Amino acid sequence: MAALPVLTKKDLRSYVPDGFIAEKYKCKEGFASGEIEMESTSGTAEERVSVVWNQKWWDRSELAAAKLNAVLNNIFSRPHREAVLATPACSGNLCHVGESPMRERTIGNLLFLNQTPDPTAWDNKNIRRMVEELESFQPDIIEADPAYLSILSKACLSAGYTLCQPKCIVLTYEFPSQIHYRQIHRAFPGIPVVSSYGSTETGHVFTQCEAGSFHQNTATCYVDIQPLKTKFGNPDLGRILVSTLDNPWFVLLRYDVGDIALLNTGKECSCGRADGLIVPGVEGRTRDITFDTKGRIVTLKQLDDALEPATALLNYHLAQADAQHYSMSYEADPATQLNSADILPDILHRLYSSDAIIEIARDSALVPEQSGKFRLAHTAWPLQAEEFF
Amino acid sequence: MADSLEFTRKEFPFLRREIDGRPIVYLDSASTSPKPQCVIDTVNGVYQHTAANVHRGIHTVADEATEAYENARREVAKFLNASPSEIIFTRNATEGINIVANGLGLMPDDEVVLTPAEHHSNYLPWRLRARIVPVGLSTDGFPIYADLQKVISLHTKIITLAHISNTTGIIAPVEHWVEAAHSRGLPVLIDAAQSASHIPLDVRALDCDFLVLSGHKLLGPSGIGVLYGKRERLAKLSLYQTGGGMVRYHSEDRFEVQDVPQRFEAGTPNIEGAIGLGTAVKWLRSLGMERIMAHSKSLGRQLVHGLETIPGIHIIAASAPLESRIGLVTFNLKVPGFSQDALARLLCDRYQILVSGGFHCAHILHHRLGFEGTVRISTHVFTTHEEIDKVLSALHELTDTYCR
Repeated sequence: MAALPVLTKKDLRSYVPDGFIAEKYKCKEGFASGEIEMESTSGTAEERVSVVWNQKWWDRSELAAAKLNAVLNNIFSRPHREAVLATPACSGNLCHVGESPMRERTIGNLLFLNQTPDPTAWDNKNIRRMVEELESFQPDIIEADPAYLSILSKACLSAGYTLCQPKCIVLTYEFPSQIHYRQIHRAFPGIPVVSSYGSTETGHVFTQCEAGSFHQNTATCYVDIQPLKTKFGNPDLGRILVSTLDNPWFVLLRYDVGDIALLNTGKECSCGRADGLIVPGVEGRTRDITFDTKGRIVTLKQLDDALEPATALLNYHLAQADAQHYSMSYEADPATQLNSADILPDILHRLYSSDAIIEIARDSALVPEQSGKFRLAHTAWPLQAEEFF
Repeated sequence: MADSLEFTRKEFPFLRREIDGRPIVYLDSASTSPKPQCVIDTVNGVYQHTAANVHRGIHTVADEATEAYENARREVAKFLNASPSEIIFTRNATEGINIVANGLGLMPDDEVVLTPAEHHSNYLPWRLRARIVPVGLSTDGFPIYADLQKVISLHTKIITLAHISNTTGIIAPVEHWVEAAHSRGLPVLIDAAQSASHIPLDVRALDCDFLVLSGHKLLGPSGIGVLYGKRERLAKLSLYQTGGGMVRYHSEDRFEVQDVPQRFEAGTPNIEGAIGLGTAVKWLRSLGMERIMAHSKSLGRQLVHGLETIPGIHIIAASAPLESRIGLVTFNLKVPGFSQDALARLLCDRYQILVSGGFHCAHILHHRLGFEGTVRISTHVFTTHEEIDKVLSALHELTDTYCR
């Protein structure tokens, strides 16, 4: 497998859809029958790609992924309701997205909660509406972008609103940070929170089990991890390459989703599942890596883990200007004893090296990118993944 | 087919761009236009040689800046066959419309007559203040301009329409509307955001009361636009913004405002934008607007003829006379499995052809037609017939591959 070339987003753009449809399948018939349709992912302009969307395969992928976590498996084994909290459902940035009543946002067993592209602009009316809709809908699962659910959680805690408690929360769409987990756990005490990793292109790839490890969804994908070149850091880190299985309408072979994982160091998972790849964690997007002053890679998870002691952080964004200059903007909870500003320089110097030049500034509201996703770190220069792996 | 304006391509550095290593075909000029080198050089030159405000300084460089700014106003006036005193620099066409909508003192029972094909910017400023009365729409999306007399009432306060709609691409019979409006003593505002790049504009011949345009669609910089108004009409508009530059006397008990156009240019204006726009319209005039119109219409004809051969296509305002169409065509193409957004994106990803996909800020028109979006192809002076062939060929390939 490792001898095969890596499939990139550029390849996808150049050859979609025909280049990825199994030879004996006729895309014309697939589109005509409604079995498949074209969709765009919601990434940045650089990352956005068109994909062939096969709903039945996606559903199979989701169902198989749910089996990798006991709580999810239990919920998915019977009819259930799911509330979705992410960027508005439309993926086209030119679409006509307006406010619509709850009944129009309820499709089958799904309720799409959010109607606005910037969750930092949610006002009390919006928050109240979502709280009431959750109460009325009584979802078994809330599937959420962690940043969005974190903002909703914080707002409800501040306003004293009681949030409907689902049986499980699934975090997906973007990297779940500790800043998100903190708020979510406060608003949903005792509710299991599961991280699910996948993409529009690849379906569900990894599910976090009860023990916290990430298990490959062997039913609908094969994963290999291409290790990081040693000069850039720990070779146990690598980029996630996904080959789709059992989806003749979108056959991907070693597709670079654009994320990094930490390889398992040989330990078995205490949950007892042994099939497929098991990794301790997904480390965030390749485009969100930064570098210490020696040029070694710092993944988003490494940055996020380092920031764990700064418990007052509500949001942050780290920008690396060049090999030595870093600036961090952060939001902090005004109601909490502020420790962040004092400890952030030490944390960042330990991570990026003592000769790093670091500026830190408090911000009142960090806003999402055009895609509706929050970016926690980035370098000022473009990164080419091929260089590092 | 020979392209009389192909030589202009070398003036546009942007047209040398590539995506995924392949050259682009830019067919999205109705959204915004690339800039010719002369405009880039002008704006750079302002930054390199000038650090002065206009109408305020008393040193040499300030005089030069004011002179360049007012020269730009003169260039725009020539472009429109207006007097410089009738040219107000705005941020864009939208701001020009808002200045008029605000200045007329409209009341909720007043009526504004327009077409259902208007851009948001020529719909919402009126809707906020008065009752909107649109003329009818034919089944293919062509406004029924002849309805005008039927919808004018005693409550009508102004009539407004796009000279060329950003979705239909059809030159509207504005002269007839002006005549009809003036016979009832009503003013007319023309939204020339699209037309300014494609056809000669002569506000004296049109006899319109107000006309607006945006610099960025006209090969000029972003953030600069123009409101033309007859002086007596402009003088009657209430103030839109107040601040420095628009006042000639200010004491504790009273202030006196400047005459138009400065009355409506409060605060430091977009100096480099205005000067860049002056260069852009001068460059267009040097090419000849009649020649540009002929080229645009020729591209429009080629587009319509080519698109009509694609099965399942619905061209907006296809019933309009071909002679009235510029190089701008919007259509809904039924390809199973593809939204109109997805079609536009695939044209970019597979063929590096950049077009618009969505609602083009004309939701009312799309709602009336029942379309969940359309694809728009729009040209400019640098567009070639070969490029139109490319997009037609790509669309044929897509429909041949994916349609029954």
